[in-house]
Amino acid sequence: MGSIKTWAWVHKWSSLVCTVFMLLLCLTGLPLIFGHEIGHLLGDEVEPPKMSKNTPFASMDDVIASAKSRYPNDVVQYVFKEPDESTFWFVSMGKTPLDEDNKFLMIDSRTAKILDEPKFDEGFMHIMLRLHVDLFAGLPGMLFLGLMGFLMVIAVVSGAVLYAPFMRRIAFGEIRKNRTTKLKRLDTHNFLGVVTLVWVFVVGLTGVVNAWSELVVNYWQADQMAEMIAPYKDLPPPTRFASIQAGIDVAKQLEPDLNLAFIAFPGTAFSSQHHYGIFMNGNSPLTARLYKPVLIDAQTSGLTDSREIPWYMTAFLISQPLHFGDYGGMTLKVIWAILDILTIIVLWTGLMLWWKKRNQYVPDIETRVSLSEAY
Amino acid sequence: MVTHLFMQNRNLKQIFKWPMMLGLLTLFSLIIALLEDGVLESISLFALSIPIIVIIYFYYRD
Repeated sequence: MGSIKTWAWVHKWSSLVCTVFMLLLCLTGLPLIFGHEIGHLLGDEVEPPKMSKNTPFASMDDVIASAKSRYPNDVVQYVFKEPDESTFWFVSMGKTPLDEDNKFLMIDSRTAKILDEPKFDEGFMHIMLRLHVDLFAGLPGMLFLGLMGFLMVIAVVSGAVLYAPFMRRIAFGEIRKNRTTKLKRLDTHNFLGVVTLVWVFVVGLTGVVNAWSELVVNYWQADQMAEMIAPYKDLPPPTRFASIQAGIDVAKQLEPDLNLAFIAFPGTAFSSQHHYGIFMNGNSPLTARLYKPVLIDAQTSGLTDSREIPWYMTAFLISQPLHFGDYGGMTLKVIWAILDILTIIVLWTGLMLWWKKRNQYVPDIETRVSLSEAY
Repeated sequence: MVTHLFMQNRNLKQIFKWPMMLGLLTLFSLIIALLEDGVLESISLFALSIPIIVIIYFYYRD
């Protein structure tokens, strides 16, 4: 029983430390699964006008000019889009390329007209997102939640080990409902916990990976981006900028099978002072995540460099859909939501098992060891 | 604590048989749904709902 006692100790403490945060993550994650749908319901999202599918797209230069006309004193930071949506672009602008107090414009991709100025940084969904990602505490908050997620992964593994001693005499799926509340709670915790185990493990682990995103991106900049832009290192920052559309055309020639996913403007985290960072992606759920960066000289619209993303970026980018559950339409979102609720039940029953046990004396030593020590 | 006297102690293989099967099913479905489109994706999504059906069935039987 010695090693079981060790596992029980690991399970108890890894769980206790992270449970409150895991409950928070499960509760805030629930609306985030349906972020897009909730946005529609709240009427926050403007629909672009319907046009024939053959309507040609406006030049990206016009889209940018349109954004600049709204905020002449700001710089463009990024142009990005929603997955599977080609009728509009989002353009983010700020006082400087790295300004975090930025504004967003929604611009029609066919007419280059401004459709809306969405506020991504306020409202219910924004609060849910921040609580889920960083507790409103920036990078330290992200890393802290990452650590809590790591504890949860430990709790899941130790929980799987402890499943065995509890299940020696009852069948899979048996829940002793007609005995004590405690037994029912214990069986519910064990059964729901073991059936959802792999999903929780995957979502937990990918969540931990996501918590490191900023550091992974920083490393990629210092590693690959620095190599790609090395020839420009000592040049003064450009004062005149060439056509972004011409740059996109160069990138499309280089990667004819890929689509434009997002553009990082000079000075932002995904480009350099001298470059447009043009990020291309594919069409499948997987390749849509695996961006191919094409660096375009911002003064000439000529190609500087383009390389495959390294393994650590690939790992990070693949971990995102596995965490978000956004790659299988509404069906997968509903499955994600149900599993999320089941996880809340596992967390809650686990917490209650510990809470109720504190003042309870179990006379029989064997029962105490096999039943009580583990939670 | 009265346990099921008629039930023999189960060994690890017996205990983990169904959890292991459901776990592998979940893992493969998650990955295949990510890699594939069309029929295979639909099958994976259905497979992902099996653990949920199992939970509902066992919890609400009898």
